[in-house]
Order: sequence, then structure tokens, then C-alpha cells
Amino acid sequence: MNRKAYMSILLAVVFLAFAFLTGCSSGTSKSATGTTYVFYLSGLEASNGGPNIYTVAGAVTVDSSGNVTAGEEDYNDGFGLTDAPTLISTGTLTADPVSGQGTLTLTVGDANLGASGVETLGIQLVNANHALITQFDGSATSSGSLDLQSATTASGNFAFTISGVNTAYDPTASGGVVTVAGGAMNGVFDINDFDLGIFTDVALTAGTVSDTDAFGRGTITGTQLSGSLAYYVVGPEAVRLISDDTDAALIGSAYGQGTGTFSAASIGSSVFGILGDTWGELYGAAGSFTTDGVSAVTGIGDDDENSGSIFSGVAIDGSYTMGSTGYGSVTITAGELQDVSALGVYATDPTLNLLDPNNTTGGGGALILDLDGFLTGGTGVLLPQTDTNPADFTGSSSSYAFGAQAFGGSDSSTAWEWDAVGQGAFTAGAFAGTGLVNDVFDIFGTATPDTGVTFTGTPAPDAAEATTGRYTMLTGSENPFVITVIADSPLDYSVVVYQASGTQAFLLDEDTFGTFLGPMEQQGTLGAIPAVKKAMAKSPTAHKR
Amino acid sequence: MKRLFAGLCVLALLSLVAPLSAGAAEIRTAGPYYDISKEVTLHGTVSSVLTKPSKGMIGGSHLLIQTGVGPLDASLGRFGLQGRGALSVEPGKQVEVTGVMKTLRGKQVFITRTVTLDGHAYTMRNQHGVSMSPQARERASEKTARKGVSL
Repeated sequence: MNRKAYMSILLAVVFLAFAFLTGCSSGTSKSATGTTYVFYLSGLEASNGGPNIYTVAGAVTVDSSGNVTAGEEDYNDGFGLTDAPTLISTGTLTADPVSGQGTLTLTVGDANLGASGVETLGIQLVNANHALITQFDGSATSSGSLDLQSATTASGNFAFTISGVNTAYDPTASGGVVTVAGGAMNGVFDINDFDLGIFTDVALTAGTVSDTDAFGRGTITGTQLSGSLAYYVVGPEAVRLISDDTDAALIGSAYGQGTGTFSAASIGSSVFGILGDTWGELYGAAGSFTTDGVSAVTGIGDDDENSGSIFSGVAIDGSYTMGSTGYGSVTITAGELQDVSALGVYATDPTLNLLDPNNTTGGGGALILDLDGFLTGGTGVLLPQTDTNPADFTGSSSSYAFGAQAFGGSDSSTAWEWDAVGQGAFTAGAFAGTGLVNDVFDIFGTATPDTGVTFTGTPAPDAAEATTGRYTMLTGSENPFVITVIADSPLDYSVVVYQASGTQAFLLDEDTFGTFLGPMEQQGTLGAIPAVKKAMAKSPTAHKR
Repeated sequence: MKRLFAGLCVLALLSLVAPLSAGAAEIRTAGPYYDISKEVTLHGTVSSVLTKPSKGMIGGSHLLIQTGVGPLDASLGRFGLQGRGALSVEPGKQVEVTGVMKTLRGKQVFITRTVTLDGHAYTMRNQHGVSMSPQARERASEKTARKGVSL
């Protein structure tokens, strides 16, 4: 063997050893270079004979140039498409460096997903660690979140909610508090199930929690919640949950509860947002309340039910409980907020931000499960209300990202869901933004994912806004929230806003033709995003109607 | 004066047909959306089949039925006329509907739980009034078929 050949073989051996050590030989290992994000989505699938409900959760590694280098995801519609998991091989993260709007493409190992195995997600970065996302191709539409993965293991006490469909393909949702330790999960939960009914404070059959892989994915088996539940760790106190059962589809989150205990005093002034399951009653509700720190709640709420009516800005009162484990409830006096009355409440670590799990300024809050028989599948979030000053929100010079999961139809629509992400800013109290809308079900008459959609409106503070944090943009007051998907064809919506702080709010649409609910989050620095930089459209595309 | 009278008539008509707008809450008594104890069964002739709601109706598909006590707006829910195993009915057919009468968006609507046509009962909603999907109907028929095999 000559010296040249020897050196070639040596170099090849060194390369292979390096490749092995950095994980290139294993599809489930994390790349040595790159940033890993955990994402999850749920919504309505157009493919596979849809509309079907569908759920996705996964982890993806992106290098500094925006190239997807590896990843894995669980995809489940409970109706023939169940990947538990499928590998992500390539893709690209593209984002506008100013707005933080863009797309993430993922090539997965199942050609039935996305467009022949390539999924496109629309993304709206809130900051370098967090984005609001929507599936943005012709296969499905949905809403969810993408977050920096800061740990690949999690244990301790957690609050959780999951929702979707059960094995009869009927809506179901559960929530509770659990302890994960030594590979086991114990706790109590509530369930609101189309077929089983409503049960509260049920002891969880001890589950087995597997170790996580390099992408922070593990499984939970043996509980009543699901035959097999996969989980992806976002951080030490944030986990995404997804069912891997071939005949059911569930998705949700678990958030840490910290090391302290809870009491009635743990729930104070709060803003809530609750959205129905896309397979259950299509409704959205939001509101704010104060507590007496003992057992009573008083506040205001809005509720739009597709099969009911709209209750707008109605006074609510009732009672609440909160146990030392963070397991509690809120009961709104029956009839005051239409069908929204019984809520399971599961308190989280006061240092968490439930909308942005890597952000440490959220003040905690709680996860919510709707326990009303007609509203099976509804889940939501309770955020501490710490600032109702308009100067810190509509009067601020900050930009805000927003998302919306919407239910509603039109004469052309083939199903009922559309989703949006976007961003914009206030000028003299008037909001103007642009975003992405997935109109795969032809609700707006485009039947395509749409870019450059404009969103404008001027939230008018209620007379009691200083107490409630509530603003309105109502068609009846000739002050609508205007969404323009098709150029020169603006559509008016009646939207209320509940301000939790200067950095967080909920948007709720309350129109007879549909509803949407979504977060509004103050944008932070976007500089460190590992993405291909590309400007996004700033105005709607002309479509034939 | 004629113009004023005409204007008042228009206003009066608008007040009758305008759906409740955002900002106003309906008077709502406490109780579940679908109170199964208040279920009634009605018979009639289908006068119209609406796969999508007309303006002011609640979401989903509807049957307009002529009953012995007058016209009935029977809401079938989101999935009532969709997918395999769904109800297929034409105007002129005799049907029996079981459900609860409610006032929603200022109008009387019959929240239909089951429709019986030609001796076959179609389930539209569960006991809480939540719509049943085509996929759920398919699952239910599969389970029934499996039970049949085991016997």
C-alpha cells in the first residue's frame, strides 16, 4: 500500500468515526451543530379523505444557515395516518428578519403527510426562542407553537390538558395534575368525553414513563388517558403530549408546577381563553375575573358558540377552588356565560409563561379544561392579569405577534377551520399587521395558503377597561376588525381583546358566522434566528372570487 | 307622512328579522344546552333540505319540516348530512324527529338528536347535543359488525 492510499483510508476512518460520534449515523440522534426546536399543532386535515382532526408534535434541528439537519415527529389523525414517530431528514427555515414571518419545510419519512412527504409550516416568530405556527400547505390547517428546546428530560409535578377524539372518533378532553418520578406517573385527572361523560378527580392509573431519546421524545403508557402517549420535552417544565393510538388522536401540554404548594390565594386576577376542539362544539370564550383569594370569582366574559348564540361582555360570578396540589376548579353561575360554566383548573409554576415556555416573565397561571357536557373538548389557559393599562399595550410602540384558530364556514367552504399567524404594531391605538392564513377549506374563496393577509382594527377600551382589560372592535359599533385575504375584498369581524399584561392578550372573534381565538404576544429580539432571511409579502394577493 | 310610515314599517320589519348582534346577551335560563328531559318527538313532511345554514340560522345543516303545528327548523348539526352513513332525504319525505326546541339567535330552532326516515333512525347528536361525525358513525358501525362476528 502506498502512502497516498494509506492516508486516504485513514482519513475515511477518521471521518466515519467523527460521523458516528456526532450522530450522523442515527436518525434519532441530535446533530452536533444546530438549534433544536419542539413544535406541536392540531387542527383539521384535508388529506386522507378529510376533514379529519389531526395532531402533530415533534423536534427539529436547524443549523445556522436555516437548514433542517434532523428531527422526528409524531403525526396522528386517528383515522389511518399514525406515525409514531417518523423521521425528519431535511428542510429549510425561512424568515423575514424584520417581521419574523416565514415558513419551515420538513421532509418526513411518510409520503402521505404534507405534499408527498414535505410539510410546510407557516411561522410567526415572537422572539428568537418562540414562534406561533400553522400548517401552511394543502394537506391540512392547524395552530400551534414552536419553541426552543432547552432540555431533553423533565420530571417533577405537572399540570396538563389534552384534547382530541377518542376511539369512537368523538370529542374528548382531559386535564389534571401528575407527578413524574422514577419512570412512573401518578396523579388525578378530570375527563369530559362525548361517550363516557364527565368525571372529576379520578385517580390516574400509574403510568410508565420511558426515558427520552436525543430529541427529548419519550412515551407514557398504562394510564387511562391514552393507550400510548408520546411526549416531547421543550424544557424542564414544559412538555408537549400527543397520542400515538391508531384509533384516537389527542394533543396537549404539560407544564411544571415548581416546588411549592398551591392555595386559593394562588389564583388572583386572571384572563382566560378557551377554545373548542375542532371535532366538538365549535366555540370560543374569553374573559377576565378577580378573586377574593378564598372562594369567589367576579368578572366579565364573552362566549361565541356555533350552535348557540353570542354572549358579549356579560357579567359573570361564581366560585372557585384550589387545592395544595394545584388541582382546582372555577364554576361560573350557570347560564351567565351561556354554556361555559364548569371549568377544571390546574395551576402551574408561577415562574412559567404558558404561551412562551422559555420566557421567564409570564407569572404562571393555569391550564383549563371545560367540564360542560355540551362543550366537550374545550381547553384553554388562565393567565395572571397584571397590567390593564392601555399605554402599555395599544399605546405602546412595540410590535405584537398573534395567532388565530378559527371555526366558521362560507358558501364555498368544504369544512370549517382556518388558521392564521401574523404580526403588526399599534399607531395611535390602531393596529395594522400582516400575516399568513391557511384557507385550505376555501372559506375565503382562495382554497390556498395565503400570504400578505392584512389585519387592521382599533381596539376601543371598555368603560371599565382598567378593571377588566377588555377592548372591542365590533361591526355593530362600526369599528370592526378587518381581515383582507383577497385584495380589495376586506371582511369585517367583531373581535374582543382581553389584556393580561403589556406583553400578552387574547383575541376572540364573536360573529354569528364563526369564531376564532388566539394569543397576542409582544415581539422580542429576532436577531439570533437560524434561518434563511427572506422578505414576506406585505399585501394580499389578488384572487378570482 | 307616507314616507315616515314606510320608514317605521321597515324599522319594525328589521327588528323582527335582525339576529342578535354582538354586545347583547340573550336571556338565558340556567341549564344544559340540550336538556334530554325536555325531548319531544315530532312528525312531518320535509319541505326543504339545507346543507348549509341560511342567514341567522345556527351552524350546520337543517331540515325545514312542515308539521301539524306549523313549520319547523330542525338543526341537524355540523355532520348531519355529511359522509358515509349520513341521512339522505329529499323534500316531500315523511320524517320523525326527536330533539329539544330552543330559542337561539332570536329564533325557534329544533335541536335534533335523531331523525327517523323509512324506519331507519339516524343519530345526529349525543345526549348533550354534541354533533356526531361521519367518522364516529363509521366506527360505531364497525364495532357493531365486529360484535356480530363474535356472536
